[in-house]
Parts: sequence; C-alpha cells; structure tokens
Amino acid sequence: MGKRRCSVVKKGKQHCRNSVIEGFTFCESHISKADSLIKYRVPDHIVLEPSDNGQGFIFDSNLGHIYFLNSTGLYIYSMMKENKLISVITKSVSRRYGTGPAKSLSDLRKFYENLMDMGLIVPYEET
Amino acid sequence: MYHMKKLNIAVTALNANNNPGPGLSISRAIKESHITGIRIIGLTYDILSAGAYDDSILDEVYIVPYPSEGEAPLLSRLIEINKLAKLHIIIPSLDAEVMLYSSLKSSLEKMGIKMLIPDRMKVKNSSKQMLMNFCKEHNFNTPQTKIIYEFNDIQHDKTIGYPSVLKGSFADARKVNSVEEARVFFGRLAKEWGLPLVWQQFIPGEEYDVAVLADEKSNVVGKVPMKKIALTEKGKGCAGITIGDKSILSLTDKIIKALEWVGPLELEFIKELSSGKMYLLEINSRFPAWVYLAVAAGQNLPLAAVKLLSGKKVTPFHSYKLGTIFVRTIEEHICSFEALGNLTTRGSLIYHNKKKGNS
Repeated sequence: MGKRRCSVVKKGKQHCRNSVIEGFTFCESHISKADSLIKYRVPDHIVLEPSDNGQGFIFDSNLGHIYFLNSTGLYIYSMMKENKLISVITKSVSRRYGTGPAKSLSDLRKFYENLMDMGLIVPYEET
Repeated sequence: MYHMKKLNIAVTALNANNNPGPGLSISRAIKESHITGIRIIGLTYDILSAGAYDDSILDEVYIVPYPSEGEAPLLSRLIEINKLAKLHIIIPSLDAEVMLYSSLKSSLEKMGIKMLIPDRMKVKNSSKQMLMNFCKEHNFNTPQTKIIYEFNDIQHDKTIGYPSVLKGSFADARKVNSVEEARVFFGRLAKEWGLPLVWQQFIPGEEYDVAVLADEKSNVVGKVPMKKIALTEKGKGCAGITIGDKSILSLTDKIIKALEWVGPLELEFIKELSSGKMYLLEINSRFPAWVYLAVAAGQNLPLAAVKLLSGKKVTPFHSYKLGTIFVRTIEEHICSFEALGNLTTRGSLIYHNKKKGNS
C-alpha cells in the first residue's frame, strides 16, 4: 500500500502531493497544522523542577506523584510549561537533536499521549 | 523570636522506634521555635521509650502509669509531677490516652494545667469503633466496617469479604486475604491491643493523611495534607510529601465541623483507584508522628496549640509549601547508664536544670 498524501489543499489548487507524517494527515511542510489538532495546557497544580544535572522531575501537587524526566523530557516539558505551540516544540527538538521534523513530531506525540494519560497536561479549552 | 514567661509543656508518646509516637516531633517543633522560657517535659510509660533519652529536645522526663491503669493512678502521678515540675500545658499524643486526659481536664485545670482537647463524647465519636456511624450520620464515605468481639464474627460474616483490613482498637492494622490469615492476625492483634478489633473493607487506592489543629470553637487553625510515598511493613508512612488537593482540604474542614473538634487531629483518607472517591479511613485524636513535616512546610501546628493555650492571638494558617518531603531515619542514640538508672529507680530524669525563678 502506498504512502498517503498530505490532505492540505493549497489555495484554490489541488492537494499537496507530499507524503504524510506517520499518524497524521499532513506533511512536514504543513507541520503547523498540528497546532490546531494538538491543543493542551499544563494544569496549575503541576510543578516542574529541573535539577542541576540537566534532568528534572514533575510533581503533581494534587496526587503527590513524582515523575522523573530525562534531559529530552525536561527540554520538551519546559516548553510545554511555557505554552509553546506543538509546531514550535517540534522544530526546536529537530534542531537540537538533528532529527527530521516528521520523526520529532511522531516521537512527541507518544510523549504527549503519556503526559495526557497521567494528567500532566490536559486538553486546552477555549474560554 | 519572642519570650514566653516560664512555660512548662508536658508531651507524651515518646516511643521512637520504627513506628514512632508523635511526642518527639511535637517537642522538636516547639523547641525549634526558639521561644525562650519554654521547658519540654516528657511523660512516658516505658523506661525504654527511646525518645525519653533525647536530651537535645527534652528538659525533663517522668514515668507515668499505663493508660490501662485508668484515671485515678494517672491523676495522682500528675499531681506528684506537678509538684516537681510545675506543669502549665499537657499535649496528650497517644490515641489510648486522649479519653483519659479528657476525663481529667477539669481536675487538671484546677491545678493550672491546660490542654487543647475535646470532651469525652467527641473523643468517643472519633474512635475507630464509631467511625462508621459518624460517617453515615454526616454523609462521608468510609469503608464498610464491623466491630469484632470474637473470631466467630469474622468467620460467619458475609458483608466485608477479602481482602480486608483488621485493626487494633487504638493502633496497628493488618491486611488479610483469607479467613485463615484473619484467624492468625485476630489472635495477634487481640493479644496486643485487646478486644474489640475493627474489621474494615479493603479499598484499593492511594493513602493521604492530614494533620489538623482546631481551636476551642472548632475553627481550623491549620491543616497540612501529605501523601505517603514509602511505607513500613506495617503500612506506616516512613516518607511523605505535602500535597495541595483542594478536595482533601475542604473535606477536612467539613469533618472538623461535624466532629466539633477541639485540638490536634490526624485524618487518614484513601482515594479509590477505580472511582477517585475519597474514603475516610481513620480519625486519630492527636497530632500525627509526621507533624514535623507540617512545621517544615510552614505550619507549626504544635506551637500554635501552645500559643492558643497561653491565650496568645493565633492567626490561622492559609498556606504551606507544596512538595515538602520527609524521610524518617532511625539512629543509635548513646545515653549514659545514669540516665537509664534514674528513670528506672526514681521515675524521673532531669537533663537541664531550671534557671532560677522558673517555677
């Protein structure tokens, strides 16, 4: 089965012909589409505590749970705490670790889903 | 730092083994306030209560009769101690003795000794045996509980099931997975704590404890909740972290109001994993052994109790530091043979002599 094509329609023209990023309906060129799909916020009771060895931990002050973060996790979650857009985080991760944006977004999605399951980020609700 | 004029504070529950009483933590909290004029006087039942030998915290120690001996021997010993040490405040800190001290409240007041504890009826309402009734009456969730007078009560019961928790009337608890295990622990707990025992439905979930202090009008002066992050084999918290769950804090306020509580208290909750529902597991009518965590988080509840009893104005605490952690360690404390000898033969130990005029 061939790879699916990006679903983004260019202005007044046909569909973008690039292959999609795995798990998404858009390609690397249209990575900003992720921002409207993945909207989140970090709840107020979640505390991020970096340690001096480049790693850190997250403290859920409601439940008393503590989660340890490696340096990559700390880098990403620090940006999430600052409410950075997913496309911005993806680009930063790509630059820092030399991975392509498609791979970075796929990996980020797994991390995002884990954080969501643990209540360390919650869906963003427009007020 | 300020000065309190010659205040002699007696604290009980000095056992400091791997399941410690709160006495040393309370004493440490008061001592570390660096208020001058305060002497801490330890009251203990057992000459081998490890805390009695901590001369960095205690100024004097006296042996008192076991709670099982009743009110009269305790009162007569307190009269003797009062002649020697001139007590101003007693902070009873063992579940088994709060009822006794509550009965002696007016006699002790006549001697000039104050305590921040509720009347007998309220102490009774907080007991493990009355928990189910209390929760039913005030609509709080609590595990299904049964009072056990003989093993047959467990053997023929169809309501609690397994796994479940068998508890001593004042302390100690064991998780039991079968009627055979229940038989073993029924024997052990009954031998150690007497009958009746308390048999409680086991709720799978995470445990949270709250240290609370209420004033004479049952207004909450301070409250600090924590999650146990490490347990001893008996299920006692040996490490914990302060948390800020608002549902626990508001539930605590409701319970204090319903109990019309006066003084220190520890509430134990469990949050059911499947439903997120909060169950009240236990009410302990004293400060918890981990109360020093509350002090480190910014609420010196033992000192606030002392100030209330001294007629000082106490502003209720409104915050505390989240994520403050305690880890309990055990260390060998070297004491002199003389100290052990004095406590055994004289029933008293004077570590630090009173300054002139401290009467």
